[in-house]
Amino acid sequence: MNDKKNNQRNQGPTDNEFEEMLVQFKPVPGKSFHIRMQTAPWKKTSRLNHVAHSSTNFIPRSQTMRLAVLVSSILILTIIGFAAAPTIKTAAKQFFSFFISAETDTISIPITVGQDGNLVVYDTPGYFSMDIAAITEKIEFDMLIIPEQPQGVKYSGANYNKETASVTIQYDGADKTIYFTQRPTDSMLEFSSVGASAPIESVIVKGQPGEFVVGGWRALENNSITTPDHMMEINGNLNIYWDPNQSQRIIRWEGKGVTYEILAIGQGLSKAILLEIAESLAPIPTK
Amino acid sequence: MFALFSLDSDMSSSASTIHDKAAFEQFYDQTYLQVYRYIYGLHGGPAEDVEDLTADTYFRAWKARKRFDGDGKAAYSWILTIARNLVIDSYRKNKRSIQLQHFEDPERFEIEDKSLIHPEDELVADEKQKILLEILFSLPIDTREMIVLRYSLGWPMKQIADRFDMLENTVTVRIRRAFTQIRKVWPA
Repeated sequence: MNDKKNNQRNQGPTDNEFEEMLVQFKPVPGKSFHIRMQTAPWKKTSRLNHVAHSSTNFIPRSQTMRLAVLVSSILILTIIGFAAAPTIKTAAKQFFSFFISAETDTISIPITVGQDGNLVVYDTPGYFSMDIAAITEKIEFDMLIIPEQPQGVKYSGANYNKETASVTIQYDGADKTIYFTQRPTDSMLEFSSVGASAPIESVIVKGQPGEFVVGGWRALENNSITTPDHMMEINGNLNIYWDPNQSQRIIRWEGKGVTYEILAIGQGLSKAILLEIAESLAPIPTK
Repeated sequence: MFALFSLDSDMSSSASTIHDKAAFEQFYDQTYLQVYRYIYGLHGGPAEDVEDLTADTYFRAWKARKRFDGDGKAAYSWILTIARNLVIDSYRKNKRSIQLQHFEDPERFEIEDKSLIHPEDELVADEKQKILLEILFSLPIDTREMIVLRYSLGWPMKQIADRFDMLENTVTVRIRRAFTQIRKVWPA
């Protein structure tokens, strides 16, 4: 009776018609479902039962899909992370090529040689003729400086290399020199190499992984052939050798998208002092 | 008239446990079709998703079977609860509106007695059923579940009332009200 009234009022099916329609709604799983369930761990007759002894061997398709998506996502994020994130990039660089070891301890390069045979391009007269204030207008990262001049050296100038986007500040003394270089990590310039035999020591600088190396490339003072450890030749380019006894120490690390390097030449600049200098680095004070 | 499925005495007496492989397989064989239809009724498809959810349901039950303690009847109710939770989870994850695809594959549906249905009548019936199911999925999940249990799975009202901890009359009223609600939005 009520059904008839409802039907008349709304022109819709009666309750009985609804019920009949619902009762006829009897979906059944497809063949693929049955095939998949044949591998279920509880199936005695499973063709794969001999390998499906535990529930872990049975993974529903949705879980497989989720797993595939998860693995793909992790892979993509890792690649993006390595490419973009400075800290991950630092780790990657450290893992692969933070300090690039040369294949041998002798290489051939065109480079300026210092009076003492040290390979220091910075010896070029007038190289550190710029002042820090002028350089800050040219760069796009927050430059750090050594806030208190280390004992025995004093600020003697700075240089901005447009090609490498590098800033190098020189602190010079009677028997020692410190070069503090910084540049955006995005410039993707690798650190220069060290000799194949150079021991590389891991250090932490401002909470970031870095590396410390003693020694440096050295050119011969003349065209003589013999050195204490290596035979050198001049063949057009300058042939140099890695001298582990050279009084040179280098600390390198990355932080906040900037690559830092402190190169110390001379006496009295131990690893501890260089680390202390590195930790003290601070932004240029605002006036 | 209705091909009602209900928990028969075999299930409640023989499947006293689902802990071992043989018992679980028997349990699966006895219940998978009802679980599949139950999930389909709550979820709305497409069929591949329903199959995944059904597989997930049994997989979870298999993993958790040692923590289950009860007879076959309780196990059946337990696995439906697992299925219901998975359906709700899938809603949350997908945040999607239900797109019914029940008629994508006619072979997936059983017609009670096809010989009694004229092809033209079948088309009309299919269309009406499609509309009904579409509207059904706009109802609250509890109401939908009552309807699915009652008609797709053929549960007696008493059993549904027990599951929802309600009086039989309350379930009946809820279903009738749902029909009224469906009728209100039924296309002219």
